Amino acid sequence: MSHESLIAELASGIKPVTPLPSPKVRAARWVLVATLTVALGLAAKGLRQNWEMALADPWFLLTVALILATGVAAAMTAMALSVPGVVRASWMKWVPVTLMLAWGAVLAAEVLLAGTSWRAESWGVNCLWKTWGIAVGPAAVILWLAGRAAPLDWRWTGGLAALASLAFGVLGTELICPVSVHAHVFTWHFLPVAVTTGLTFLGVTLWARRR
Amino acid sequence: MRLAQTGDESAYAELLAMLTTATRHFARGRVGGVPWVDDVVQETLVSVHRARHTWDPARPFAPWFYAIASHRTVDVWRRERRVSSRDEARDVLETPTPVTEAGDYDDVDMVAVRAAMAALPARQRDIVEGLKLRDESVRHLAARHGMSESAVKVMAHRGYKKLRKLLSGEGDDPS
Repeated sequence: MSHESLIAELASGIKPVTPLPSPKVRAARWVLVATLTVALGLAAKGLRQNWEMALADPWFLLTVALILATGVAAAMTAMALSVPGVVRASWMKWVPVTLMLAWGAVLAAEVLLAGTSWRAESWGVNCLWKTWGIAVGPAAVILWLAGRAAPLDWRWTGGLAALASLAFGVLGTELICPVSVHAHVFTWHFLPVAVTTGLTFLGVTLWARRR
Repeated sequence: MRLAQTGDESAYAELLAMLTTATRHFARGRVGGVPWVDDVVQETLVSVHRARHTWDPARPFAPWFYAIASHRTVDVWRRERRVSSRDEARDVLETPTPVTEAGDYDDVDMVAVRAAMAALPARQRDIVEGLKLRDESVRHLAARHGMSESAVKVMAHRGYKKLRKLLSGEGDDPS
């Protein structure tokens, strides 16, 4: 097909389009949805019984702040990446990943400082289900939002969308799960987020190659 | 683009025509005078069309457009690299042991080769001869026959396949 006929085909019967809201606005809307989902999770499972003790723990507050920062940064970057030309510096893509790694580093430091305590209650596959259960709704919404735009790099958009959703999922788990054993938090709260994000990135990469 | 977003056909056609030239210059600047620059141009135009609702009139147009053009250039480059590496691998597998001495040509039944070539449709024969005997480029042949470069490659590949079947005595290939 010649360029002229392609142009004629694309231009004929072109319909008016409404420009998408800015990535910041779309990310803010998604954060609202994700926060509501966390609230629903809390309503269903109940706030951890020792929440007063947790709120007095600076490590816990630091952890929650880093999770929140990871989730918000990942959502903003995923939304920005879904619009061509908004993210011009590639280092911006690494900000949410760095925040996630900082969260992991804080937890690892806690484990090292407190000494490893792999006690029976460290087993926490239920936390995995909680995190994924809370994350699945926001994940569907953020992928839909990204798909409505025009992501040029689905690997990063998809990977960061997964990270944002999982960060909010694990935020809910942090507020529900009463276990404060550091090894448990590292293994059953942090690692599933990191591993699932990595697997999503890998999965989307393979999918994009086959397209 | 602002007018295109409101559904103005002629403004949009004018914009796409301008972007055709811009994409061609951009792609040539990035990858040189490769024969698949036109593929980059067309894929960029289609992507611009699909993503036109994502351009925010409050933002500059150039970063938005060049981000698309840049990604499409890389996509087409990757695809071409995959295709050419597959073709090379196939050629290595399909090419018989090279003839090293002039006398070895005696083993080639030139009458059969000529007969097989004659059995090809005129356009396919010209493409096979152009590529293998006259050392013409795919681009040149595509322009001469009014076909896309991909179509020329496909037709040439089918021609080789047909020749192979005819020469190995498997009979005519209905394709």
